Amino acid sequence: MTFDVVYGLSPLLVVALGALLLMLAEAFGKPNPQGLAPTGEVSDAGAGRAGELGMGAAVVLFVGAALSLGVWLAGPDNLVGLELTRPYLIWDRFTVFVCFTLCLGGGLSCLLAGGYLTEHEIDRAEFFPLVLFSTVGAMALAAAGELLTLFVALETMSLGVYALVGLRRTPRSSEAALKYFLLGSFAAALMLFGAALLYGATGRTDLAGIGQAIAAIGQGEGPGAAQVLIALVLVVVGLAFKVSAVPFHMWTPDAYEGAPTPATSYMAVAVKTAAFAVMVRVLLIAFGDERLTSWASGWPPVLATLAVASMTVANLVAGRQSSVKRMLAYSSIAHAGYALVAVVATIRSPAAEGSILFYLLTYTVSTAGAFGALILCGSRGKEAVSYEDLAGIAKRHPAAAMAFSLFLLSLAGVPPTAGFFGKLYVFQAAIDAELYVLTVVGLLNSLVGAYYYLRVIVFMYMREPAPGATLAVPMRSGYVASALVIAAVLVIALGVLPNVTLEWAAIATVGRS
Amino acid sequence: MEQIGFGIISACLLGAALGVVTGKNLVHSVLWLAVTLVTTAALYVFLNATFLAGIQVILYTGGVITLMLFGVMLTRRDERVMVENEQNGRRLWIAALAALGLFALLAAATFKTPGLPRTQAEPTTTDAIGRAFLTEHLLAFEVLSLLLLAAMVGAIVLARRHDAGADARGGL
Amino acid sequence: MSALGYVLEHYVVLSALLFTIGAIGFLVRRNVLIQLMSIELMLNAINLLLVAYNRQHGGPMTGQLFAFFIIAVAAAEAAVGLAIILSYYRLKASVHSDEADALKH
Repeated sequence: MTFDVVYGLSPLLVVALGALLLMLAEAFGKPNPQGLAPTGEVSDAGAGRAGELGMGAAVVLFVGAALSLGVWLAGPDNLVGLELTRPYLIWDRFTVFVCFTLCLGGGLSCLLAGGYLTEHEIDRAEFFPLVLFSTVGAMALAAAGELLTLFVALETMSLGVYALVGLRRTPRSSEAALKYFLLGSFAAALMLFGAALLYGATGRTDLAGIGQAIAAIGQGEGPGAAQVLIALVLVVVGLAFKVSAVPFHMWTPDAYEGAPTPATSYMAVAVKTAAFAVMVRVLLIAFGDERLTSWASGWPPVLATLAVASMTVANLVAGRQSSVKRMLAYSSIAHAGYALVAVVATIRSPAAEGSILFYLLTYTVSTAGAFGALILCGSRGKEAVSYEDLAGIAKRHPAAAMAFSLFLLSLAGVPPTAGFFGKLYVFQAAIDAELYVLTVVGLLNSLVGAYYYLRVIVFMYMREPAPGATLAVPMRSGYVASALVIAAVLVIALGVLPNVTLEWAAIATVGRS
Repeated sequence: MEQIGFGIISACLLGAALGVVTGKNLVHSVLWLAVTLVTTAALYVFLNATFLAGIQVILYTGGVITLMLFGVMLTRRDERVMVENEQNGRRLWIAALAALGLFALLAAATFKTPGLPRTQAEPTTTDAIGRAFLTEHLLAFEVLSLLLLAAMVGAIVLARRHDAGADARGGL
Repeated sequence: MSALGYVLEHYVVLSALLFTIGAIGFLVRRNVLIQLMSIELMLNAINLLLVAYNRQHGGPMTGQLFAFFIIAVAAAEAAVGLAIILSYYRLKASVHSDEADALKH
């Protein structure tokens, strides 16, 4: 029994332990004089060790991913002891799949940070313990089957990320953290009020129990029905904020642009993945009642509106950005829209849950890769942020340009990359669920979206830098390069051989009643 | 008797809450927040949550208010503790409308729920709360300990003053 | 303390009012410290609601436990929030969120 629990939860436990060890290593380790800036004062024990700590954090997270794979192969259902953690943590195939994605995204971001922090002489090796703490929260959030656990996990994830965003000592980074923190706390409070109303209406805090109680209330417009509806609205608003769906996306471009790029990458992949996982679980288990999943009186029309708004607004605005980082922020909003289409499709198509998981995995590798390529294109004193910075980079650094193009094509959904199959399965699920309008809107948006991804490639290959402009020189970093290689291999592998992963995603469901 | 007590306390509570959000002086706002928290603790006593009331006064009022006061003191720019006219008329109206809508919804939800079952709760004991923390909600409790650690690391990193100047040079 | 005068609806309406005041404060005021305090008000309203419902439902005191967790998280949130405000203030010497517009284009 004990073995089952320890083995089953091993991805979570390993990352938690790794976070504690890295925190101690950062605090008590010897400073590395070589890694320090020539003029930088030696003030911190862990100073100048960003690279090594980043490697350590990435190893911990990749071990977490490998353990998730191991737990998957052993089958979470066969680990009888895991029943003990129910209903607080529901450790099923759905959770394990999400844990794998989270560890992968976190690990890639840590590798990127290892190169980025060293290159830009940012003496903030606390980045890594914070990422690990946040990942523990994200995994617990994906597994949460009870409101109290859900709330604590959500806040663990968020508090770590607020600090990550504000890590740089620049007004922009600080300002981004401030905006994200204020709006994030506000959204959490709204969601919490919803949770309190749910507890009041049903007397339960576990999602399954709430689902049953709501089904009982639903019969004949009994008492508490209005309360449940308001709770639903508040919870959906809170979750929409976390996945940054329009119109709850105002913070996203600012926070993504102001944050240090590896932190942006982490926010874009891990926070979004975990938020979608918990959204699916809450909507299908707690609000999975027939009435609430119908088009007339439930959440599907609301989420469909959010999906259409996110895709359309984000794609239209993204094309007008001059900063590539900001463009990628809008792109992540658009991708939240595509994933929301799949969430809506869960009401009628059994394959939709699998398509969300597969989509999130392809999104994770493509987005982490794209931010990594952006990091690679800049170096000390000159980060590559705008389109102009990337002009002609293909001549100066063909490998960086090629990697960037690969990830952008994947984000645009061009075959045979991972992104193509991610979108394909989402739209297939939507057609299965007879959501033809949503599918058409999604397809049109993919076409519009291709414009601004291709525009970056055009700048890289066909434009010359303006004469006299400071050129962004690509950095040389083994950490960033290895992260890009891992991401590129996965993008191609998922694009050429999607079958195995897709079969796995298809059997990972949240087990609605 | 209790009805009257409830009336008085809730009037104080709402008054203090209004004081927090309308105050022109930050220190006054913090003190109004303290009043809000203490009066809420009084309501907890009415609701048989005596231990929680104690925690509210000692931890929340004591800890958070002190923290807030530090925040106010550390960010005050000489005589600019006073917040001058910052309201924007249009925004005020939009916010007021949105909030009134929210309140109407919440109130409607309450009054549409007449027939909830009423069980007489037994007085809460500290013992039962402790047990629940370490049995049923052990997992959340453990995650919470990581949360506090993460918050500590995050707060120290952000608030620490040392600057090697490196960020400024390589800044965006 | 007798339960004679206990009316759940009163507590719920009180909590809703408190939450609304907090929400208005957050949306209208532009001083980040006031916004932070408004969030504390909202969390306090949620706690009150949870404890009132807990009294209603009785049983395993989940509502009160929830309130304990919220108090702990609110304290952690306040600490991180103040650290962010402090570092922002040092860089910009301003605590007005309207002035936070370096990122607007």
